[in-house]
Amino acid sequence: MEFKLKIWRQKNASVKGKFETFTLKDVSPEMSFLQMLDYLNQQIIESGGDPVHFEHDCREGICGSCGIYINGRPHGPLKDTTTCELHMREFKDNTTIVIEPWRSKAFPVIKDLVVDRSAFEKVIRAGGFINANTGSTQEANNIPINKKISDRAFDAAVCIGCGACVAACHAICVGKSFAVCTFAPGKSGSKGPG
Amino acid sequence: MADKWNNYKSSLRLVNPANKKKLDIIVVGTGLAGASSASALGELGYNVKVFCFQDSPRRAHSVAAQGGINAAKNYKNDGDSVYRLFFDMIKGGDFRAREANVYRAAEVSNYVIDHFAALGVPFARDYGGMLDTRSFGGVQVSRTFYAKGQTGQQCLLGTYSSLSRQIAKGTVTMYERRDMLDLVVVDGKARGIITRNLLTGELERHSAHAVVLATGGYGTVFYLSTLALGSNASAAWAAHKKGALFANPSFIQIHPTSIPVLNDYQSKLTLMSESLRNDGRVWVPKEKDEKRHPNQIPEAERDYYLERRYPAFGNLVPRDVASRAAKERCDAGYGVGDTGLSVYLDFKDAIEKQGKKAIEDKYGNLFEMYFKITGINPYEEPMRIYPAGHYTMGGLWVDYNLMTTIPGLFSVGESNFSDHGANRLGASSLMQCSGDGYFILPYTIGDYLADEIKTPRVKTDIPEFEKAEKEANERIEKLMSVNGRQTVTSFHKRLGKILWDHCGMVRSAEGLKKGIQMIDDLEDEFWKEVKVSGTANDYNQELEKAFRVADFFEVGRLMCQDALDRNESCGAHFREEYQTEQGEAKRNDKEFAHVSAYEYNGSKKEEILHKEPLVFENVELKERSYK
Repeated sequence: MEFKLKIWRQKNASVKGKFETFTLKDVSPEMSFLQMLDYLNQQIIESGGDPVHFEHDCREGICGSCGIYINGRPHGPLKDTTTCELHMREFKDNTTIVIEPWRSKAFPVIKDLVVDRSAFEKVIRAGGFINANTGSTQEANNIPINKKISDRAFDAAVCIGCGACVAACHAICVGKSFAVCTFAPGKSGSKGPG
Repeated sequence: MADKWNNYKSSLRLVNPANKKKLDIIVVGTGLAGASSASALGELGYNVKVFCFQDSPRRAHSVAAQGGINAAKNYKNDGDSVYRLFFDMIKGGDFRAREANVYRAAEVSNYVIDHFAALGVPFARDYGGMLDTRSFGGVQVSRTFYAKGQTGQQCLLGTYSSLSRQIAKGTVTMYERRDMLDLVVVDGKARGIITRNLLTGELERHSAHAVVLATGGYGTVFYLSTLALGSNASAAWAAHKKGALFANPSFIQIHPTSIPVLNDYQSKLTLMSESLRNDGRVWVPKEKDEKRHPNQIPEAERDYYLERRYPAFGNLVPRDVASRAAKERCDAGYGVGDTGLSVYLDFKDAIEKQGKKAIEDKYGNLFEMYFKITGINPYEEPMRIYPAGHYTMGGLWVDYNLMTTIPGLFSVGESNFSDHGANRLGASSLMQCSGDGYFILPYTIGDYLADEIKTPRVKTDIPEFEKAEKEANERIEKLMSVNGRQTVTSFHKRLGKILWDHCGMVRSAEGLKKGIQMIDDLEDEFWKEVKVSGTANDYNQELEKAFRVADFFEVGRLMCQDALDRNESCGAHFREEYQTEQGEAKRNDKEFAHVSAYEYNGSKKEEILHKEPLVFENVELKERSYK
């Protein structure tokens, strides 16, 4: 497969960014989206350029590091699928793919496709925890919890913290309050991984 | 043995609350082990600084643990006990772990589950509202607590929230996006670290009265593994070079059920949880070069080789046994898929018996993950799986206090060697990480710090810090100045291939010697030919990788040296020269019932071997059988 990649390049937070276009040949449909970017970077490095920076770690859809705006959608075309799980077979051959960082004022760009998501840490540190000290807890089965409630708690807890919800949401850009939408594997009711 | 930890705890010295505030502790890593250590120490009132390379502590690779976490609760009334968990781990580790440490890990496992329940971790529950468990490989009881296939994520998020609570309180200071480049030792004691701010490239000095490494394993040495791509050995290796012994480096677990290598571009192998073997049946065709679709191969023409070879444990044999059995079938020509390097994991019978809904409830997210990666629907046809590098039982040598051979340097979780011997049983990694961090280190570190209350805050403008920073700078400059033509990743791939071929599932003296030679050659080539793009004082992902890969050459060489020295087979370490007639691992307890702990001896030099004899007073050493 062959693609034209229109990629957002920005050296750091204080300079303006712009799109740079690459033509990438011999892309295999079996490549994941990030492997495609690895492949591009290899060519950029070998020709003496500065590789495209993007964040990634587990590459199995659970750590929440990766997050790229692909053709105008966070994480690309598939529902409940992170960028690292997306494969090139989902794209039409010989097309242009627009690749941008999360677009949101709350997440300033650090470099290329990497953004600063530390706003999430502030939310958690403001009280997103349970006050249970180590050593002070009772036997786990002393308080039974209704399975339905426990399952719902799980569904809410599977958010991977990638920030796609913020990137996709207009409300936060203009500073309004917003309801957190979880982008999460295992979210019940979704077609995603049950 | 049963009273040892309790008695010992009572004898450990304490630090009074007023003094705790004056003591600084550095914790490197924010996975389950690091985050639990940092939050528990913060709760005690110490001044804690914690570091991670990711943008958030919640991303550490504990997040990817799937199947579960063990505890000896005996909720199923199936005969479980602390002793039995201890025994299963000792046997599962093929009698190459320290009895007292393993017993303690089993003992604190129950507190871990209580604590997680209190933190709100949504473990699976039955309809009565009680916690549910499932079985895992290598055991005959059901003791694994789980949250679908996302147990690690849920445990980590619980721990992350307790860490966040301490950060909000000000007892813990969080430093994200930092790589630890070196350990600073002053008068023989660990006193600080040198870090690189990954966004600015700036080197920073951080001092403390004690340093805790919770930096995970070195499985990415294979390049392709189930680990996150950022996982690395560099922090532990820096400590090793500063004098911390490194134990059992060749004990690396190859996980039997990973999605196989599909193409040359692959950057990572995705695990399919061991829990799948509860309901999935592993098989290959009885005929070589079988070309039919798996669904068209009749029952009678399938070889359920695990059930055939190990009737007592069947598909639930431990990981090392299952991995080798898969390799054996594939090497004999019965493997499936284009490459012939995979076997089937089939849910047809389970779906027929329990219904699709039941299977979806248990493994839904794993099935979905498999589908996303391969495009094949495992509800309709069997998964294809193959072993992949996964977990390192080896790591920094620690004593019963989890302290390394450098006073004041502690190591918790996967980065130490402590509890799993030559093979780790499923679901005992989360258990060990959180046990170490929440319930062991907070006691043992106090015993060390009791002597430090008169030590004033350590200054960072002393010669030891100057020197360590200078050396880190020189190493970076050296990497940047090679300016060759090959990418860092291309070297990492080649190193991984050498280790997979020569120090992987099956090893031989000849192969290992060859492997060492190849690693030496490749390292020479690296320092002549590597191309690190960008600059040092900037956000530079290539430089991060280069720093880590440069250490992996040394890690890989030590793995081979250890595997070559250990003239026996045990657990995950399988030397083809030492096997029983049935092809099982053949231990040599007379000569090798010891921990091999290595002392760094300079670049490309053979390391100095120290032996810690293993004494078994509570279990009888015998051939590990799952038949």
